[in-house]
Amino acid sequence: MKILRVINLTKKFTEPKRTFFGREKRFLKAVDNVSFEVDDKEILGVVGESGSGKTTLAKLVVRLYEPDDGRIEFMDVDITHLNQKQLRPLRKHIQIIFQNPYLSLNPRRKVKDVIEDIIKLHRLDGTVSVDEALEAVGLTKNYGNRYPHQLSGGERQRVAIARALVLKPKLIVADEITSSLDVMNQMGILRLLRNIRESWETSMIFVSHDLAVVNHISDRVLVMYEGKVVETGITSEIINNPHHPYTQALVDSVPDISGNWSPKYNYEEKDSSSIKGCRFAHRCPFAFEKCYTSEPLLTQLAAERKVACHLYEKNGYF
Amino acid sequence: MAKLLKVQDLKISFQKNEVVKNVSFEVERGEILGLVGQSGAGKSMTGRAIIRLLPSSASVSGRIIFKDHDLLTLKEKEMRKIRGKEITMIQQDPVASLNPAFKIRDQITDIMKLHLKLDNKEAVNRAKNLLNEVGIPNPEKVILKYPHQLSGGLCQRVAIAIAFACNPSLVIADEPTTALDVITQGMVVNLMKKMQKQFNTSIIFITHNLALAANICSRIAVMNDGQLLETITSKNILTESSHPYTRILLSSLPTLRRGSETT
Repeated sequence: MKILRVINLTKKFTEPKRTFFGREKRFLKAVDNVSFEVDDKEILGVVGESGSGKTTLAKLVVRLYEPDDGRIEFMDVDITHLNQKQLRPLRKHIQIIFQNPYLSLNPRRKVKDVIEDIIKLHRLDGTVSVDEALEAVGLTKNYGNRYPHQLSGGERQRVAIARALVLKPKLIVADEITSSLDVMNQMGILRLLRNIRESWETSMIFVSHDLAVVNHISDRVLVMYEGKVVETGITSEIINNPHHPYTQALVDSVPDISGNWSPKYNYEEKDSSSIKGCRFAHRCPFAFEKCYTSEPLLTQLAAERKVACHLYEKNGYF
Repeated sequence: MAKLLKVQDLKISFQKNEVVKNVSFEVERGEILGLVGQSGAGKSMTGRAIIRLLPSSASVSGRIIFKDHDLLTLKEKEMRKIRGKEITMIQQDPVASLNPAFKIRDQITDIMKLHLKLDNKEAVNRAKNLLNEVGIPNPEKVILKYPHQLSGGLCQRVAIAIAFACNPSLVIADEPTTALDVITQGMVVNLMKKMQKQFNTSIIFITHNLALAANICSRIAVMNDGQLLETITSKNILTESSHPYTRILLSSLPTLRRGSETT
């Protein structure tokens, strides 16, 4: 069963710009025509660099942003334009965990109050207790009496996970939840999320900029660049055989302990809003004329593999 | 090679809480030394002690010998001549380490006017050259911008340019890539290697990622709980590392291989 279905989702932000003729509105498409599905008990990784629209996508899915175009179906219900009141009964099934655990927990409330608030808000009596939720994330129950400032970064992030878990959600959206942690805490959290998926039967969308982290947790990967999906497929296939030059760059950027790692990547910031062709073309080492004139479409290569690049058309992959 | 920096029996404590315990190590000229460990291991405190930027509540003992001076006994006035010129620092969060109220130009030229006694015109020219060195396109334009107008990667490049502005002998890089995404991280690492070769500077590279350290540093010092556990040559990290803690660090690295993780 598909837990989540996202069809042609688009979100535009306006950037006011002063020109010679006065003020002008410019649109920035943070998420542009993105479609994907999340299966029951599946972990979908979303990868891309800063500014690729990963976080916007995460916030759109939990309806913290209003989508401009497209559809979001959650458990076969169209939630694209539901208002706050209509959304409320669905909120307990779909939870988000934020990047920075220092900002996402109220500093004036104890851990158990933070979690209890959620239970009361959704009027869930006795399904999951605070202690059970804390235990599920590997904390003892005396953590309940502490305040967030008494916890380390890793512990805070565990509390944030417990707060999401206590509702027994069908889908958890984890937005860069390990990026502020050191490698040991990070691995602990990744292990925890895998266990949660098994024992609590939740689906997840795991957003990260690091392909190596995503490799340890997700079943499928969605690679995003400037608001577009450039490649998607099974995680191991993406990593062992990346098709899109941007995915290759992401794979290259992971430092390898045994080999001689040399990330080769040139960087030039350009305004890509005026570009007609592929948005990656000006950074792509393989770009040819067509890349600058027409935008590549996301094309199905295999059952679970899609890529948006002209190269594979040119080299006869289709 | 001559020793540039000798740290002997460094102890740092806050009231009764000892955060760095008897740490000793040496840095040679033109060497990149990695300081690796998890959060709270005392890596940053060690780095900050060398440049004397610890909070005033910290009590420090031991010896930090840099070019025949014991940095811990220098007067603040003398230390100010070294800090920013001979020893510089690159912070973790590039956006926070730059002053939001000043243009990039002023932030780079200030330090050159102070330490190298350059006049405004010379300093601006040198700043443009530096920004060019660190791979910033259009330095003429970037120099007139404020930090919030630049991306995290660009800000970190500016911070690197400032750190190398006065030909320092030692740069302390405190998790310079942690706040950046992986692609930018790769570029910043390449840049730091390039600058290190060009200026023959020594770098203390503080990170929690052992794989990253292994690719940048010639030697790696592993720290945990305020103690320096072992120093290993990066090339032989997989064979030479004997301490169980280093093994744990190695096994918690996220990799692109499946099943390489040990529980």
